[in-house]
Amino acid sequence: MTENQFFFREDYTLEEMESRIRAGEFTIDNAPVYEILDDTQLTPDEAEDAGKEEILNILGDDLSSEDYYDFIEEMFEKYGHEGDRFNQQLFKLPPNHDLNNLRDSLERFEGGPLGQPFDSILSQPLYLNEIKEEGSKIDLRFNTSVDMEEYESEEEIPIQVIDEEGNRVDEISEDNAVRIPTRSRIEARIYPNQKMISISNSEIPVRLQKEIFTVVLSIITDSSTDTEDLIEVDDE
Amino acid sequence: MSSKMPPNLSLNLEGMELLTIQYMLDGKNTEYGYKFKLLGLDKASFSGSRDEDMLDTSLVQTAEEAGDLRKVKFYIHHVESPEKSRAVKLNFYEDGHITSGSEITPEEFDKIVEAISATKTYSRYLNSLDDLIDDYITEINLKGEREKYRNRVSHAFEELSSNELNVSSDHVVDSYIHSMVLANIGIGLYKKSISGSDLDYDPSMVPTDWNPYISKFFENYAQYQMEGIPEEAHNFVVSNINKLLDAVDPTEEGYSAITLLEEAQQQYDL
Repeated sequence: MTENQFFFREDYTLEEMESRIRAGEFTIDNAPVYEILDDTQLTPDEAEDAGKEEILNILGDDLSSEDYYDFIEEMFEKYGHEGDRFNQQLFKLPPNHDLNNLRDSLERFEGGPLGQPFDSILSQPLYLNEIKEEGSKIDLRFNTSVDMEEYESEEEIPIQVIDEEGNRVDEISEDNAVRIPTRSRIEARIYPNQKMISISNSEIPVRLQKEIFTVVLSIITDSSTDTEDLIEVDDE
Repeated sequence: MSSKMPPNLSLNLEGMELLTIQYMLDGKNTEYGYKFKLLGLDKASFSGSRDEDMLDTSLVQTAEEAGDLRKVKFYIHHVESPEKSRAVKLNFYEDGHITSGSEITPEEFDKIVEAISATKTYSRYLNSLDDLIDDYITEINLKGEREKYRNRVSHAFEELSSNELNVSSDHVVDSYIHSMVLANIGIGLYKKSISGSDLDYDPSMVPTDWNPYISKFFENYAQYQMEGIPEEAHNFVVSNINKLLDAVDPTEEGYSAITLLEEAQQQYDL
């Protein structure tokens, strides 16, 4: 699953690559499409009349899954849209703090759940799972702790079991349910030169986002437990 | 119950700031469904094609009421693989969160953050010429004369950036932002002149060939909006703007109206 990935994205699933290539690119004017036709039952004329979905269906039937993957990958590299739709919240960081050693300060909290000195800030367990540097910027990946969510399979829309490449390999029969461990993933990027931080805003409660901001802020303002610099506000 | 929460450090972006961000990201402004009041400029090129669906959303309605531009569109050029070039729409919400309507890579996102950051840095100098004129125009002219006055001032600024920096008035946003920046730098210099520092300027740099409405704008603004203007202030202001225009090279890569602000900041510590 690649949900809520933005700064930490490294690769794309087959399905993602497919959806990121515009339909109009599946034309015989594009070399990869023209060349792949030899391995299929499609003539160039047929291919030109067929839509993206139809072409992909036929290629999926006629090609080995390895060749299909290679074709999609080549198309994606040439014509696909990289990146993600994003939903980010920008915050200003205090202008007077030196952010040069921020990475070292952050690393002290990498891994285990954030406990002291953040107890007074956090309303739920939170993990700082990953820190990476991108040029002058610092990326952070947080996770909440695991929750179990239950989903019931329905006759019309059964729950599907899929493999790594997104192919359906099984189905959960009607009336059975699955329990899915979920946890929220929240990514953030710190811009030391601009004194800003961008925190993921999609599908996470505002409160959690504010808490993450406060955690980072308190690490910046001297990595101390002291939230003196922070202003007290009433809960909403 | 209360808890420790940080002060509100989220970013609210105003209309002019958004226009500047869009400008810095090479935006095209013609796709927007709402009017943007631009003096002496062809409004048609700003109102563009009206997308009725977009107008129905509360987002746009709010933006219209507030007079703020809330959607920014720009174009991402892929030099290496032109097939990947594409238009990107960004939505800026009042609470500071931003969403994209299409895929953006983190590197492209960084450019957006840089544009926002630069815009916020110079936010004080991003008051539209229109708003600056609004500050005093009711004081000086009969109603019928006001629009004429406005148009002449904005035309004069357009002419200035066209003559001195080769900014084509066909590039509506470019020309508009230049006018705004030059007017605000001038006002910044006026403020500096009040602060009592000696008014150092080179008399040979006092422009003689500028459209008189440039001077008229600065003199009127100072007269009605400021107090304690020294006698030499006007010459100080226009000669230093003139110097600034000489100091920048609009053909240099990366030049934009923001370069003028950066230069002014360095030269005059505005």
